Amino acid sequence: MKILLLYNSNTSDDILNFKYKKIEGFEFKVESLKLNPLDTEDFDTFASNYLSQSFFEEQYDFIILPFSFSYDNYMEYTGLRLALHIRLSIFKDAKLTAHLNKANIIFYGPDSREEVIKFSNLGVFLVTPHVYVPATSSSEGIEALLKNLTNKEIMSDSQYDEFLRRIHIDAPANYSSHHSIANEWAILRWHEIIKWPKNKEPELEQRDFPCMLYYKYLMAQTADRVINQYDKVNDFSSKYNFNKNFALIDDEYNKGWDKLLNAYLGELGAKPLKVCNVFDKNKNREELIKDIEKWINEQEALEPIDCYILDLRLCDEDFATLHDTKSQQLKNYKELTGHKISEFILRMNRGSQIVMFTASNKVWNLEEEYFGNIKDENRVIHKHIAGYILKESPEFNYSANDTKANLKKFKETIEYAISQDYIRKYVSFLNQIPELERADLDDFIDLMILDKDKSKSETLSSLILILLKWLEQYIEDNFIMNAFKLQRNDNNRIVKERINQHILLGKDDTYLLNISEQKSGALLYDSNKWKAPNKDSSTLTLVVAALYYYYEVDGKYYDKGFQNINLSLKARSNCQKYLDFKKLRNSRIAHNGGELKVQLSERGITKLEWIPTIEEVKDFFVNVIVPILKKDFDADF
Amino acid sequence: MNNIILIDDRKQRKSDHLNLNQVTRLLNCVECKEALPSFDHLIPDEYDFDALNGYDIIAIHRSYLAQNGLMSSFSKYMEKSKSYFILFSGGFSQNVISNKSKLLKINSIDFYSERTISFFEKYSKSVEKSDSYILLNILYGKDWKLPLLLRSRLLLWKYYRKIESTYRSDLDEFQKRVNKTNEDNEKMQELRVKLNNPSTHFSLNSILQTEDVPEIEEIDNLKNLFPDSSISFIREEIKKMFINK
Repeated sequence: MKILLLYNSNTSDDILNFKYKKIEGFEFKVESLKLNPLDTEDFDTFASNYLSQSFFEEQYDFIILPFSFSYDNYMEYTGLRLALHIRLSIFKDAKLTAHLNKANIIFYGPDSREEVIKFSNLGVFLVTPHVYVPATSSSEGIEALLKNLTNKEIMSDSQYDEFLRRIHIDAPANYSSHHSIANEWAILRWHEIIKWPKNKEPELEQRDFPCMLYYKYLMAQTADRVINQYDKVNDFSSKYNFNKNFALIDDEYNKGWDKLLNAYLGELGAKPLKVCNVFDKNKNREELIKDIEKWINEQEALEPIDCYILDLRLCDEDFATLHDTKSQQLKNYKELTGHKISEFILRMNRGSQIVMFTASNKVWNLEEEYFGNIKDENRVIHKHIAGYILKESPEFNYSANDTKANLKKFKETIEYAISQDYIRKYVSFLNQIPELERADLDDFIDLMILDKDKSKSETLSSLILILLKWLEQYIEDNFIMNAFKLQRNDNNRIVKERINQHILLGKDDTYLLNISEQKSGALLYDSNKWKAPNKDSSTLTLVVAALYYYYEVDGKYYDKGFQNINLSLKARSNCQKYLDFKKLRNSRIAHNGGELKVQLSERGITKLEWIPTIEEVKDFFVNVIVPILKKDFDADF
Repeated sequence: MNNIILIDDRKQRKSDHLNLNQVTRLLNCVECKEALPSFDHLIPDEYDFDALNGYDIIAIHRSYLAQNGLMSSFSKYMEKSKSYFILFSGGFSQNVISNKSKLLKINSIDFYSERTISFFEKYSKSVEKSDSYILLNILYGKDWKLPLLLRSRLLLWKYYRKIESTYRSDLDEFQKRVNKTNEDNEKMQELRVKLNNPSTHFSLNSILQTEDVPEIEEIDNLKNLFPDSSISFIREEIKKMFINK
């Protein structure tokens, strides 16, 4: 049987004689443990590093160590703590881990079992299976015990489970908020679950947390937690274009979130992550909010942010005190710093995409209770949030599969946010247009925001209606069509002259376009050809005429923002879009005529059944409506 | 008067663990700062820790040193300084005393506590200069002697065999006779003299005659604390503490 005996200056010479002693059936390895008196690290970090030494790569059946290695304060019982590390650590490989975790432990020293149990909060370890204290704490006592335990096997699995049930390891005292534990834990889990491409693994700073006995205790409690090679995720593909700007606002960013998310999103194709680093623990909430808002403004001025990743609790004041009741905690959510920041971002642009990424263990309440039941303006904020991602916390008991699923949800939420980013651009554009002029287009935006479905299937009809309504109203407000031409006669008087042609006039009678002369032919498409406009379809004609104006002016192409290609075709194409939507509106939407599809004919092409999509609605907005506003208000898109 | 300095870069931390009255009392007996005296964060490598000379107890939040890249130079300063040091952090899983009882690593919750404040109040007013075990006082309060008892028992246990051959038989004989009778006879006297001779006393002086006993100062200190440092005495003392705890 293999024995590892650990010693230091607390060990008597008598026991050290095991270096030279031979006992039949037992093979001794004797190693020293030296505590650095000036070590400023936590003891758990020292213990973890100690266990990574090469002599811990053997499968010992017995491990003999003193109750305490400590020199200045014997009551630290550091031997006890080290033994627990042996029980709970993960070693070089699974087989070695299984063996060492279940090895027989023998303690030596002048202490009695009862004293240690009384004086140490880890003392209960002494009454767990396969932990022994010799009758006399001498080499003879140990030898006698070993002889009694000859061929004693290591713990069974059920005995190990019993050990886990009996012991209790407290979290480090100041990790009492979920915030710190969850953040450290979540970073580690995601770092581990992702199968990083070669040389792309982010280097997290040396962390104390995985060295902690508490962390090892949590990991040992559920075998499912262990992440094996086959659990790892290496899906970095996406049908969405990730070449976007992401911003992280999280006070725990420097625990590793900045590096982890930058690397992960980078693998998906994202631009370098912008990280908010203005957190100063000495500032109160109001000051912090101002600093974050300033940072956001600076970032937006450089380059618009496509998606914010935002933690809910960003300062100490965000944590509920022990005295808060549950309802107080719920009410206080609108005071949370992350919530205030989301309000600010949405005030800037209500189409902004925000993913709430939080360790708050009440995030489910947020989605279900608070925003579902409480009627206030903050409910609207919830609708603007692309999604909530919970940072994994140890008490959730997530298995490797659960961690994978959480990461997948994060990716899907980000993808959703990207897919909706066009709304932000639309809002930015529309903010340049006077409110009265853009009118219904605000409703168009709000409806798209409220409909969380990417395809907007439930609101598609309404979206089309709003666009059509706005277009027709806008053009009617700003154009007239006339069969008269205004000109000055010889007496310099303005006279109207009836002409056999139709002209498009602005509201101030400004001559805009001679419709009849357009080389593109008639403006209405019917029966496979364009027809000359007639006054029976005045609105239709007016709109189409106006659209021609926006794309072709006096035979010259309106080329601001357009490529100089066959614009007459483009103009006709955009007019066609209007006509198609108009037909849809008349045939289906207006009469609530069932499925949103319509039979159309294209010139020279067989009949098509058209089922409009959100992409076509977006296309209509961008290619038909935006040029109108760009021209009239000199707006940028 | 003893001087104590406490450096914690987060004001909020005190309020997290102490009530208003406790914070006030702490501020009254300790010099509280948010940064090291005369520290220039632009040139952290050049900080001269001698600015802390003159303080008897120096308490610093560990993260403050780590974030400013001062751990290494701080360790060097601790090595040469005669002051007592307290490093506190929320990340310490275990409270540890080291460096000949001059360094205490303690969790923030245990540090910011009534026990610490009471000790600091007493210590700051005391005219006596530091004794060796003030950090044990912070950790254990009125039970501060217990770890020392355990330590002295450990030393006795560790060195027992060294003296076994020479003195063990005498002690056993003495104990036997004491157990049997209270009669004072010649043999008993002789044994007693032998055992009470400082150079041959069972307690710890005998160990001084052996090699590799570096803890001379510690043994003397322990001896002063526990005049009759026999194993049985220590067992009794531990038992008393055991019952009280």
